[in-house]
Amino acid sequence: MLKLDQVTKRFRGGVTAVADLSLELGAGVVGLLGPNGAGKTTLMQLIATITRPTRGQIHFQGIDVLREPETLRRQLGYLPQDFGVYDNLTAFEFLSYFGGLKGITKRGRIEELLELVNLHTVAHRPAATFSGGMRQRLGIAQALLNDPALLIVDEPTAGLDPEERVRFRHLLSDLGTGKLILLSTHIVSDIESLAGTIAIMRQGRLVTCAVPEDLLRGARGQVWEGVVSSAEYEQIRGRLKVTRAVRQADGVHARAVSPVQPFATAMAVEPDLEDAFVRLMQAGT
Amino acid sequence: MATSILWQIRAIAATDLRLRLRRPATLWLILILSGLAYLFIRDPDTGTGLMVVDGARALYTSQVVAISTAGLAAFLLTFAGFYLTSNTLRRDLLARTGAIIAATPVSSGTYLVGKFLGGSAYLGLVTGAYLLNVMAMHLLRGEGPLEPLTYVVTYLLALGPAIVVVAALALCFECIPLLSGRLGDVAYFFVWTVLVAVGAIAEGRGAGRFLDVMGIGFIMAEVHTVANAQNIAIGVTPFDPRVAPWVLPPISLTLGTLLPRLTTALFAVPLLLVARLFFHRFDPARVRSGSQTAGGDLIRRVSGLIKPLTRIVSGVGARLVTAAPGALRPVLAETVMTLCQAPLVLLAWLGVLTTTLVAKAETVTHAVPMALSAILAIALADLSTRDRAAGVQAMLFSMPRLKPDYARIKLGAAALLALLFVLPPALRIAVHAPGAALSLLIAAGFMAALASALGFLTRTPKAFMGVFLLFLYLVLNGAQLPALDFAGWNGVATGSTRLGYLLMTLLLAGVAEGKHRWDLGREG
Repeated sequence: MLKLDQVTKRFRGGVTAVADLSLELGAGVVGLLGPNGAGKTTLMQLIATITRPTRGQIHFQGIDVLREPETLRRQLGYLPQDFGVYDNLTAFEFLSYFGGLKGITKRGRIEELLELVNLHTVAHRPAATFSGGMRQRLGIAQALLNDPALLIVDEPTAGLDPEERVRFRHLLSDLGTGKLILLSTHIVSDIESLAGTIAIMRQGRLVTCAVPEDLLRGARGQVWEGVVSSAEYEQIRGRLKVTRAVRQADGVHARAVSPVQPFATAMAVEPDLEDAFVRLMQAGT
Repeated sequence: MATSILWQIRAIAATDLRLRLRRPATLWLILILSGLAYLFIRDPDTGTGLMVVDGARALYTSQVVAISTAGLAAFLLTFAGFYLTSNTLRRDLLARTGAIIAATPVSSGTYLVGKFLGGSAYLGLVTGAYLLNVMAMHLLRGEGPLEPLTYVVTYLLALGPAIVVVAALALCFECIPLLSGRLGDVAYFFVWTVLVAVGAIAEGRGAGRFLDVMGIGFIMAEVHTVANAQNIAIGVTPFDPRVAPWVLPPISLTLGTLLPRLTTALFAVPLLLVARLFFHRFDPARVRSGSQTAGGDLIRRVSGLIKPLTRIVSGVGARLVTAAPGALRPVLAETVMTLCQAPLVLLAWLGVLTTTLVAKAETVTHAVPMALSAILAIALADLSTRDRAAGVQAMLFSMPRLKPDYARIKLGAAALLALLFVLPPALRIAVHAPGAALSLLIAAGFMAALASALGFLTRTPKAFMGVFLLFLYLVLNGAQLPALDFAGWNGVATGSTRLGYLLMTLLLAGVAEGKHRWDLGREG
């Protein structure tokens, strides 16, 4: 469905945001994970045809996106990370505007989306009065206007409260089959239950692209949990990647990623995606 | 496909127009235009007429009122119209909707055409509001029947090309990186003076009538055709009551009248093509940051070269800020930051200082203040609006005392920056012309207060740039008028002039403070 071939993006000033990245993705939800500055946003912008790669090729459904960007744009829904609304427009007017740009003329579709993102009761209120979460939901609605075959959402849950985050996850999983949903985040829990494939980036490069089970399998035997004293914990924190720590009456319950048993009381436990992500980040440093 | 493109253009133009019409500035503009219509069409009993030909007053028929008011509006429309419409791409950048637009199937050409039509429609509506006011004044002071068709046809012919060309110029300037900032705002001022000159010189004759964007030549030609007079004055002009009034017949709609105006309007097309050539389509690799500094590789490189100097200023400034008394500290910090973030302003200051030291006294008295006005216009324009545009205002307001004192700090920083520029030449001028030196010092305060007041009122640097550059044009063209010699460079400023500008400075400072307090009150 989407194929990236040795894609590189170098900005003026010599900063390479994406380096020689090759990737092939089919339909489904793909989580793009990486620390801040990994190049996720630039990669999303390249796929969304916002910017052109310095080198490499991008194909979507066999079409050369660099040559025919408008063919992709007709099937694209995009919610950028740094996104805003016009304060003087109402939610309905905002969606009508983007509907117009995407060739959506049916009023019903806009009303349907406002209901989907739970903004139908405030549809005629100026966006200036909206909270961060409401604005984000409006952004999600505009991305879905044209029922896109490729949906790119960059850090979509930023600004959403826990309830809204859950609702957003449900919304993505209900979008239907045959679509490619590319979701970038640095919060592992956002994609834990959602993504069928996870791509991990670091310093502009693709570290891995695999199904979650493979990532978990790779981390098996390298995740440890145990109770240590506060002093020991400070020591461990200095030399290991601690993924979780809870202070309790008997000491600090620490969970760490390490190829070998990191401390005497540590017991190997089943890894989760966050552990797998930390392991991969650690492996490259 | 064609339907889809038309739908897209309609959506872009309608939204652009909607956003512009919802700005409070539009209401202000319409109120100002209503006032102008009232001022222009004066009662003939006052001894002044709207159009005077060789001393004879033209009767207030629909044709005379239409052609005269259109001529007067042409100056304002072509000037203010640019500053009113040249923020459409910037709005999408600031609202952070650009990337979403770029990811839609709308082509760059379609997007620009939509934006151009939105800008044209806005200027057209503003002109329409002005026209309605003029027609209302006709009902009050007209000396013949009100003929709406005559008004509409005259306005379309006289101002139609100006509306579309100015909208296209605004978009074109916004797309060209070098012209998309304040440098472009100043550059347009010179373009505008050329447009005025071309219209006046051509007088609707020869090839020049095809270049008459403002329509002045067209209007003069229409009057000349029937009057064959030596002196034609449009505007509030005294007439000779002994000479019988005359009547201007309706404009004849011939091919010779229509073709030049249509050709002039078509200048919008190449301007849009240039805009398309430079349009960044919100590509982060091409788009300039949201800051309003003048752009372009060349300027960036020059700024880079001056960076070591800004580091010195920053270091010295930091020490001064720490040593300053509490109330002065934020003012000083703001001034130092302005100098450091715009290295070209710093370079200009060095240029002014050097010129003051080495140039002849006459140059320092006349030319240096003129240059200073242009430099300060650029340096002061965004001082009171940049925090909001950069999204750091809320963060600043969380600091102790900064929120209630914000307007005073901004005004103080603007005044201090202006003073830094004018003090060296003022000291030298004071030796032989203390009055002119005093004028220059008051002018610094006046500019700082005007920039602050308009910045707080409109939240955009464009208003100050537009108003001040228009004022500068009047100052340059009214060299003999003491009331306009605000900085003393024409050598005709009197004590009353200085007192007047000082009072205006205080009034404008009050406006800035009042608007800030009003904003705070609305926030609760």
